[in-house]
Amino acid sequence: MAKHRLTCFPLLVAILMVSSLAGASGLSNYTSLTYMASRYNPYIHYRVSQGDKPDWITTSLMIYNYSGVLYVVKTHNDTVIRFDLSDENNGYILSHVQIELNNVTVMTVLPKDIRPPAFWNETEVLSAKTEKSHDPDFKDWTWYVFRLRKVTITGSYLIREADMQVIKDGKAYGHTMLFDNPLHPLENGSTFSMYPFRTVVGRVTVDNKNLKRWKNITYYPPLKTVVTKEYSFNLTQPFGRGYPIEIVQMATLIYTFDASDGKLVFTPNGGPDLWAVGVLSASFSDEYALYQVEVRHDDSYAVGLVLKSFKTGVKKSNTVSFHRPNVKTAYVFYGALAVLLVTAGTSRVKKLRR
Amino acid sequence: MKKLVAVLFGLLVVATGFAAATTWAVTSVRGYNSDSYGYSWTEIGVKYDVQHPYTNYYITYRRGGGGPYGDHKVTGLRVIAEPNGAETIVTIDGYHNIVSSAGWLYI
Repeated sequence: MAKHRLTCFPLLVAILMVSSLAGASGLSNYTSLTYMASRYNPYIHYRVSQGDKPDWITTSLMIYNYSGVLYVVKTHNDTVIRFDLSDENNGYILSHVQIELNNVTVMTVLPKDIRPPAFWNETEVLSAKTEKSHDPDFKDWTWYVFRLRKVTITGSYLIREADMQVIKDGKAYGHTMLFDNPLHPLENGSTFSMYPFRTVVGRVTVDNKNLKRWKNITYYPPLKTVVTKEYSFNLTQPFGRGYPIEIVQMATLIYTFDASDGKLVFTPNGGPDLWAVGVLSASFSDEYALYQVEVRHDDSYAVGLVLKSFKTGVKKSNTVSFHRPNVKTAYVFYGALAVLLVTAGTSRVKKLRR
Repeated sequence: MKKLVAVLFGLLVVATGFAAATTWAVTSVRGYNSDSYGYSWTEIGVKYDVQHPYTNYYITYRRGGGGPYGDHKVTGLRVIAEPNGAETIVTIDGYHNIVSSAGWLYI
């Protein structure tokens, strides 16, 4: 079994140290974290046998803000999220996010004069339908429902190294969900996020005994779980009177970190790192893990969005090579250089004689 | 001018006639789901034309709720709008979702 662990330094320290060395040598440090919520047919069959509709069973359910339009995004096959982090050498870490969704239903509702901006590739559309709104306050609005083979959402933001804040367009969203800095750990009562949702850490537990599994990966203790206090919010389509897309009566953010190096191991929800790229609300379900927990009653499995791979290292910066121009001015340069060296040598010899 | 007034009056009479012919009724549709972790419910309010219930109707409200069983705890509760109804997702213990939905039959 693969053992996902850094053995020497806490992750953040490693990033900072390698980056400072890398900066001096023209190399750059990178870290890549790939998380996954996988589809698992036996779990779907189990849920359907319990009376659930297949449409209810998703690996992720998100509300995505694209160009000011809110979309409900339901994913029925795998959800994969990759964070590529690289040091900026100016006190910030640059994070590129790529969210890959497979077998997706995308819905939105809009006033008649606004068309839904597409964040998907048109070749991936399996079906598209419209339906007039039946809400008395939004009679001239239209619902759009798209079924898509695949959707990729990308974005980027910064993580401020000093306090691990997610920064986008100069705005601080909150503490990154990707790391719990062992030098400045998240503690009970500390502010976790500020924008667009303010949350406070309500509970912190460290499990020093039990490991967590996911397929062929084992996450060894100590594992630290951080839970925020409850919060609530409404997401409304920002046109006219504001169509209520999602009403969240109660939510909590839950993150489980590898306490030895601070990296996020699994979470059932999003957070500042996804809010900054427009994913304002998210829930993740790894169906393979849920099958082990709910059907086989083995609660040693990591559930939600689970760390699938973790890479860190140093890569060479892109170098641009120039060919030496084959021109006669080069001889002038080398000639001048030779004269300079001879003059310097002669004056040094004269000094020594005196 | 007289003709125009007559036409408009006629249209008004016809429109009033149609309006008077529409008989509206109000109902609610409820969906419920439960398992060993807890339960979830969704309710929508519907005002519909008795003569054409599946084409002429309005969804007047959407709401949902749920709760845990035994030692389990609710960690999330959200209601999502759908074209003809709503879906409620109750999250228990951080990872287990109980989903219910309610919708109006339509053509």
